Amino acid sequence: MKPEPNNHLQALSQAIVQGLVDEAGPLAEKALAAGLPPLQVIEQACVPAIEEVGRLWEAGDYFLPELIAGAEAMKAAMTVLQEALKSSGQSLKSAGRVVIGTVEGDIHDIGKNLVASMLRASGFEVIDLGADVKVERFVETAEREKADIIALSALLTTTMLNQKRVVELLVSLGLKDKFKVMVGGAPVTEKFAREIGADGYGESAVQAVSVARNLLAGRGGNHD
Amino acid sequence: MNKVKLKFLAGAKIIKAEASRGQTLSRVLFRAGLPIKLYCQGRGICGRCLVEIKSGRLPEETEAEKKLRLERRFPPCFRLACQLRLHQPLTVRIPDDLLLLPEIKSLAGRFIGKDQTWLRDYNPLVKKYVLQLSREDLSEEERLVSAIKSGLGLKQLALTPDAEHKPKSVGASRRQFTAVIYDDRLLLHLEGGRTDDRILGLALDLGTTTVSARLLDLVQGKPLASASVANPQAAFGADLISRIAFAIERPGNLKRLRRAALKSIAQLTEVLAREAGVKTRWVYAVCLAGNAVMNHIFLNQPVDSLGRAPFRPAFLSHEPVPASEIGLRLNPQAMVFTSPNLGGFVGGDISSGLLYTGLPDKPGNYLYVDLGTNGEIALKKGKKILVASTAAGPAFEGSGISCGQPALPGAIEYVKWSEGRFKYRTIGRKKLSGLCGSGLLSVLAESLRAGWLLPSGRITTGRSEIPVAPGLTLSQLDIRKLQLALAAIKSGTRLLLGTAGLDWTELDGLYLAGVFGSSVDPAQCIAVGLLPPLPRRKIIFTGNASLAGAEMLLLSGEARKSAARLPLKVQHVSLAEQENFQGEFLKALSLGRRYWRKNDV
Ligand code: B12
Ligand code: FES
Repeated sequence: MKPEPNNHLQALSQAIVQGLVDEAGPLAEKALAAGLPPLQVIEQACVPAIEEVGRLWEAGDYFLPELIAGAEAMKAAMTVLQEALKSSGQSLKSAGRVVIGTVEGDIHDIGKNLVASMLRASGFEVIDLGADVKVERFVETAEREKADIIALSALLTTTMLNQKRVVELLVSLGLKDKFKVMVGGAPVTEKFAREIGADGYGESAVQAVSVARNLLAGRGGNHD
Repeated sequence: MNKVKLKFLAGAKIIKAEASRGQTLSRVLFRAGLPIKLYCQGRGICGRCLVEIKSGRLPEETEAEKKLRLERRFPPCFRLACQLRLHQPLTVRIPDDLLLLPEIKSLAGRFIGKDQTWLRDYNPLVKKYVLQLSREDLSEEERLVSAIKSGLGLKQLALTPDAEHKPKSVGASRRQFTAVIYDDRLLLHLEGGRTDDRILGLALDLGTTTVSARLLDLVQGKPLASASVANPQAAFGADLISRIAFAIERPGNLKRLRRAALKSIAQLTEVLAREAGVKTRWVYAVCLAGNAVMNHIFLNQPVDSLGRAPFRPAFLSHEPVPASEIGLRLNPQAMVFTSPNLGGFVGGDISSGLLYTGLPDKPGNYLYVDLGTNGEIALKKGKKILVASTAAGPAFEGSGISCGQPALPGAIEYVKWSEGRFKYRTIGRKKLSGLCGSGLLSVLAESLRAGWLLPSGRITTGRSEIPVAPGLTLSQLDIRKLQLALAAIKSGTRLLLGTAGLDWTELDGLYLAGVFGSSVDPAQCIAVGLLPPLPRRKIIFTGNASLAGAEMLLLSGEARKSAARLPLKVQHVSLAEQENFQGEFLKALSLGRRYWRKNDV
């Protein structure tokens, strides 16, 4: 009979769903102080919370600011919890390593940033190359960082074609099987993604997470 | 006594005025709020500023006036207002079509005030002067030019570079000629006999979706007819970026885009000429206000640089070009004047719109917002003008919105929440067909008021949609798209204000141009947060300011001078390089007045 821990988990979960960035960290600390193991806090408060944020987004109740705030609150909580894991000699299994960026010629990075935040919030390690990223840089970074996924964002009908160029470069270097390529951005469609030979397409930052998971399901990953 | 008492009869009005001795009548008329068209800038050579003296003792005629009277034989009671110097009390009748004001009103609606520079400067881009020339004058090109130059009192005059149409081709037996002069500096043609009543100008607004044109009589300075068609380039891509992509794809494609545009302009011109009962070959001047991409395509300039970062135009100001070179079939000597690009995607449609509002030469801080797909914003502070484009997208043109449509008859343009439902008004009071931009904005404002919509953009009706009218609902996704478009404009505006170090409370006025026309309620714009909560009198809806600006460029030398100076005053701000864009954009996604609260940076 311990109602206390549940209250802590619920409060933290609430804070993440409501995007209370300043409260999520302290609430995570409180949960730890109450003696809850960090893994339990992550699994029972954080993960369900960010999933709820995703659900509210899909339902149309949440929009970009709420989504971002949710992801930020998640990040604040996770910083605290991961620190605690580390000091107890544990570590969280990464969901996968993702190299992300907006393609060359395109500076629209709001969508890309959101995708990165949601991926991070969902346990992925994300290497963000920023915007206007050259085709070669995606491939070089993915190799160096032993990434699992290359995620490409494009917002212009003209720059969409650079997503194709990344796939082409991978093919020509014989690296196509080594990395999964995931594409997105407002003008990009499922059909386009298929045509250019990308492995996955996501319509939103929330979908990006499930697509990334599916791409890596049943696969060891390149990282240790 | 140094003052002269005067009485002016203008239309149905009688206006009393006083003048200092020796002042010209035209000057006094201007002071009295009755500006008249001075076709030759009061040089006494056009003979067009005739007023009728109803009573009073007539003063001496000037040499110029004597000469003109001899040639034109107007009755003695008619005098040239620019020449007549006042010494005795007079009663003068001003012919209606000599007054500048009625035309200005029809051009601009109620908003353009008397402080407009071009009021002081009616000066059509191309003018015709009737001249007597001797056989010797015509014998040599040089002599001809200098004879015309001195005859017209011009500081400089050059021949049109188009050698085939040199005025020598006119039979030398005739003594009376009509000189066609471009911008008081270029002799386009010398026509035999007297043809100075046939001179028209074409104002063009070449937009991505719509091409609008207005035909003007350049003698009277009045609009004859206007029309618009859909831009047929749409067949090659709906938006600017797709057109650029198409143009770059294959060598012949730029030409195809050009031909499509030219064809629609030719069609428009035909229609306008027919409607006005004139000939297209009487058109000697075209003023083009096209967006950056359209300007490039029209002038046959490569669009490549506009297709990739950093999105720079190939030119800002462009020399006037012969219409024949462009491929427009008007008068063979017709010239095209292009309103300058200002940088990035901010093009000639914006420069002409700015000129129309008089903003570049007005003291004070002003904001100009064009609510089109490109979402251009200009901010004037002191002598500088900052411009940016925010890429709002076409949501407020009704595109991508489930029940959206362009502002055509039948579209809801306004709604009001009352007694638990929306009361709506459609354009032309026609049968309801959808919602246009102003209607969409109006629904947002009223839904907020009704509590059907939260500032976050969430619909609270429980059905994820807002019922606007029978069979017409706005979905949650529609709202999201509108939020994105609004946020682009709002954040762009705030970042420009920030760059200039200006607070919105310091604005002396805000011009809203583009799709909304005058059907939108400023209070609703403020309620959704599109505009900062300025007092009503500071918010001015301009309608199609680009076309009106093109008209102004046809009619006013001051406007053209201002157009030439404009790119020098303007600094293009690339919002893409603004560090805090994302934060600003996300904040701007929320609806309502909160975004403009002070200290909410
Ligand atoms: C904000 C904005 C800008 C800002 C960008 C600031 C920034 N740092 O990002 C500024 C003002 C600088 C800008 C500039 C330009 N823009 Co702009 N811009 C927009 C706008 C208004 C919103 C885009 C946005 O951020 N949406 C919100 C984000 C969250 O959505 P998103 O990016 O689609 O991302 C979501 C999904 O697509 C998905 N996703 C995104 N990436 C990925 C990646 C993967 C792997 C996955 C799985 C999913 C995924 O998840 C995200 C979240 O759910 C749109 C119009 C609109 N109303 O949508 C135009 C728009 C994109 N821009 C456009 C244009 C033309 C431009 C300019 C070329 C022109 C100009 N007027 O200056 C410049 C180009 C600059 C450049 N070098 O790229 C056009 C593109 C048209 C076309 N056919 O390509 C649009 C559509 C507007 C329009 N119709 O004119 N723009
Ligand atoms: S204005 Fe030309 S004669 Fe008076």
